[in-house]
Amino acid sequence: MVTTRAQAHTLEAVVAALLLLTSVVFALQITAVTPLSASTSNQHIENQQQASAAGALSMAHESGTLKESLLYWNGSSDRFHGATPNGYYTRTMPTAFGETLERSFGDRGIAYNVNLIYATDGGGIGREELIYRGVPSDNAVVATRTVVLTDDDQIRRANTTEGARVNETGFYAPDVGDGGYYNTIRVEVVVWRI
Amino acid sequence: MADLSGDNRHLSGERSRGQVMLIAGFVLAVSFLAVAVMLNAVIYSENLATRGEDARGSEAIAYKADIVDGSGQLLEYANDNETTFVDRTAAFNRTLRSMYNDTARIQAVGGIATDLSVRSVSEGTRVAQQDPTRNFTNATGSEQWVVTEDTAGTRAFQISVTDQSALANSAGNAFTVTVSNGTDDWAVSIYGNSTNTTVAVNGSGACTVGPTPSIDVTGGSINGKTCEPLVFASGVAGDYDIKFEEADAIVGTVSLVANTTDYNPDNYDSSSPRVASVMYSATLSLRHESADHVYATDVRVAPGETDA
Repeated sequence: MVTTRAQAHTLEAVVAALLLLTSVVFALQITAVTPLSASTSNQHIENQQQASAAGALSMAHESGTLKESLLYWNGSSDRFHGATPNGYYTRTMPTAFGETLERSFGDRGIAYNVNLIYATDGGGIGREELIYRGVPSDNAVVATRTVVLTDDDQIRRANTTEGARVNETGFYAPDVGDGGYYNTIRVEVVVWRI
Repeated sequence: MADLSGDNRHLSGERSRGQVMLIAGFVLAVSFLAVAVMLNAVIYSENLATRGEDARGSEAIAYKADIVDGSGQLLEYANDNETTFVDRTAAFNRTLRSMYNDTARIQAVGGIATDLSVRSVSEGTRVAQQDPTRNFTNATGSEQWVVTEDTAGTRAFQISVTDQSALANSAGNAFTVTVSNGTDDWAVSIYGNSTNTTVAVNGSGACTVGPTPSIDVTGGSINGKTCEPLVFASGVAGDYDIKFEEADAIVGTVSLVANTTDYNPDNYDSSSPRVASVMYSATLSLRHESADHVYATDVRVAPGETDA
């Protein structure tokens, strides 16, 4: 009788201990890996990168250097001045916008792509890569701005001075517009940690 | 602990001690669970608080800025390439529709629905003297004349000096633009010698630059660099007249767009200086919509205006 009771108490104690342990384990498991946990997918870092990219784009847009970079086109060789034969730059581009991006991201272990999206005849969408550094990771963020071109806009020569009017050259985006309107170009800056 | 003494008198007490331990275990387990749930809620709200881009609000603001910028270019293009106010307005409406169609398609790539329409266009007057070898006197050669009257606003006021030797040497007889509403005045004078040009704003200082500068009077910059004292029509409220004084003491080009249709036609002819009825500004109604937000607003497009 006494022995049985002692065994029962021991069992109770063990059960209680197990219960405590399992609840501690459960409590640890239920705490998710949050976006604030230190990792490359840290939401905080993504927010900051997104804000930096949006800031760099806004700055370039305000000062006119974004447009200058879009128009930095070599009509005769059908690609941007000094770009690779694929048409895009693989490091950065030699305009003020390129310098801004390089200063913001270049030496911080952050890679970026710059894509240009424009309207094509017949209601389609065309894409042109301006800077291409590879396939973005799953944690990439994107910032965009839209630039409108008119028939009066001039493509830039290699030294960034104004050249021929945009509708008189083999520019990558076609003249889809009525009257003086030429095309609209959406500039996407894709940023990710490497 | 279980009593191992073998004394049966404490049987009921011992049994209840075991139950107390079990209950205490349950209580602890439940409280751990509560703490875990609470901790998770705290972390989740912290996470929400640090997310900036929930409703993509900044995208809508950037879209608005881009549309203002793009429509500004179309407005200027129509002003430059058409000849009457009616034609200019029609061309602006047509090109804006065309631009909207493309922008809508491109925005749709990012899951954004947009809408854009012209609510109103206001008529203004463009004054231009585009002969780089002429001074700024009116059509009859008068050096003091009123450019526009009852002006509600001015934009894209550009002066480009081409002949440094034509400038006065001192402020006394320098070319001056005066803005006056009858009680308050604002004035800017341009004078200089062979090496320096001074742009002096009455009562608020001056900027000194090299010879033959390009001055953006409403933009407040000279040769693309900001000139702090140059804030157009500062302190002049309501409608004002724009006057040129000592207009023979400057050679170059000048152009401005004024929000008025009042001027004396005798001051202008078909060559220089010329006057044209153009669009001063346009008000657009825009809408930017995603699954998370709807943003609709009216925006005013007046490229090169001081407050724009």
